[in-house]
Amino acid sequence: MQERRWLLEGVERPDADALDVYRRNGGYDGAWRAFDEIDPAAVIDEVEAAGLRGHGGAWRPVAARWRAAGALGGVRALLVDVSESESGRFRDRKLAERLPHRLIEGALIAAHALTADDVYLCVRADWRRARSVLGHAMDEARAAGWIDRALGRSGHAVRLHLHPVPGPLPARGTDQLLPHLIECSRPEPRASNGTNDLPTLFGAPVLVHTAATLAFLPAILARGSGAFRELGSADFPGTVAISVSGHIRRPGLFEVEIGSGSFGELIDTLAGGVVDETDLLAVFPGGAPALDGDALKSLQIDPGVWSQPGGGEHEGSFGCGTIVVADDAVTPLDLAARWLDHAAQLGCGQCPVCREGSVWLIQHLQRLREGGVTAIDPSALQERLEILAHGEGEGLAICGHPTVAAHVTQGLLQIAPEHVDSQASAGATPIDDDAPLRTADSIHLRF
Amino acid sequence: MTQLAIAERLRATVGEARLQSLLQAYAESRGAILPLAVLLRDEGVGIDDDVVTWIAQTCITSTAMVTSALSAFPELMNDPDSITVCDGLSCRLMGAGYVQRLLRDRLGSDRVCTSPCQNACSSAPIVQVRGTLYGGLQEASLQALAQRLEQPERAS
Repeated sequence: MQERRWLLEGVERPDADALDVYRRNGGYDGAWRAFDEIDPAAVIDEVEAAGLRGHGGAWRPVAARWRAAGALGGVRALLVDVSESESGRFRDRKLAERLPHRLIEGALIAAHALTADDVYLCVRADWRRARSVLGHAMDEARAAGWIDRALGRSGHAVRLHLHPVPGPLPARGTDQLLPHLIECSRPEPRASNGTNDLPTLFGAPVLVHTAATLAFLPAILARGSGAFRELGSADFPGTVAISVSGHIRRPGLFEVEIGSGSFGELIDTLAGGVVDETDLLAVFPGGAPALDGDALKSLQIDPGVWSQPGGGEHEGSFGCGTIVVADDAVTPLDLAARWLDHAAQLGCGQCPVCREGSVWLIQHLQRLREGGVTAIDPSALQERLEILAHGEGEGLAICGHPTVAAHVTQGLLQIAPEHVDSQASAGATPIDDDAPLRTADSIHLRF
Repeated sequence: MTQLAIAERLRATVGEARLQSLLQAYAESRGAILPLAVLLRDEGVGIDDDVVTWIAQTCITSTAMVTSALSAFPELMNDPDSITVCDGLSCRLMGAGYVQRLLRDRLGSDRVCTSPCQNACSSAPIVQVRGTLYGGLQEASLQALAQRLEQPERAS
């Protein structure tokens, strides 16, 4: 397996964040073609021909979303999610800090295709470097005439704004949540109104895209849809950037062709293998059940093999392909308790099934960890997890955050059910505070 | 100098044009509450009642709206000099619990807070001080960082 860079092309170039370096390497050629040589409809055709899907986790076809937005009367603004709403992912932060102009160019192309005049780059407030680099890149792009000024023969001027958002946000629902945050309402996802799927910002319809999705656009416009289509599978063309962290020799961000191999190959060939050749656990924070080492290693890097969105045999969602790997220094129970704690912290508190259900599960998991299976009612635990997992589908939750929390936990509890008693220990806390410091041998694309 | 005086000085430093540009980026000026608060925070201004009033007047909204908006930002309400230890899953696996305990023992609990995830997981475990990330911490580098932070004026 080898890296195939589209999204991260040039990421290791010195001064990759500078406009002159970006321009020397073909930067803004795609935007110029979109604004000067073809019209917005042709941009959508090109993206449709490329088969680009959203890389935020739902993998919806981008061009279809744009056409649907047009059919609903169009959008006034584009909101770009640069907040990594899942623990373990560091793709969009890396993009913002190293390739800000690719992100800006992608946002410009999308705004032009949508004939939107404003773009809000919603960046985590506590990522000060990312905000600073993006802000500087916007200043450079503004001075060079790429933003805030009529561009090419289209004469379309797009205004860019940098908007800080809190984070991390709940694992799902950012489409509805980001407009809410800009309006200074509470950080809670909204329920779709059922008749118009477009979220609104101050009453005007908007569209939300993940940063990585937009950052594919410059190369697709500059190099043509055919080159992108040659990679990946028929349903999921192109590449995907996988965030790999945890007990790995060489953690990092690896961009590979979709369907070009398994997670085992990625870990062994690109990420240097696991730190100790012991039993492995893998958590997919994007919403798939956690897996043990054998299952992980044979799993293909392809959204299509998951039930969501590809209708594949694996239950759950590929998400963004993010994985966190643990060796046998921690037990599945430890990891499940830690994960539920994390999920409960990030919940917005609106929906009882998520708010109350998470706390109930944390308490029962703690009893299980301290007292073994005799300390709880296992069937009640499974029942609560099922309710959490299907909360959104059954209308009990506004977003899929509880589904993600439940899927990961269910996976961990199913890894070694016969050994749950032996994983329990009195006074257990999720991943012990006294656990020693561990450091990777090296880091791929270090922060 | 009071926080309010610092905020007024910021208005002069940032300039009226930039301030107006910020306010005009949104269909309703309350959209500028958080960008303005973050700008103040970046300049080391603590958010107290006077500053909340100043933001409300600048954004032509109520102090209740500003307070509500800021409640979503616990990090804005922390001391600007507080030290943030990432408590995400990857950092936990790599010893974030140990990092938290050591820094709290050395620097005091009130100076050390945690973040659910800083999303720089390949560099776990991670500590952030005034916007600067310290990643891939080992025992020696952690001890050295703690030593530097024990002298706050030289910690940036």
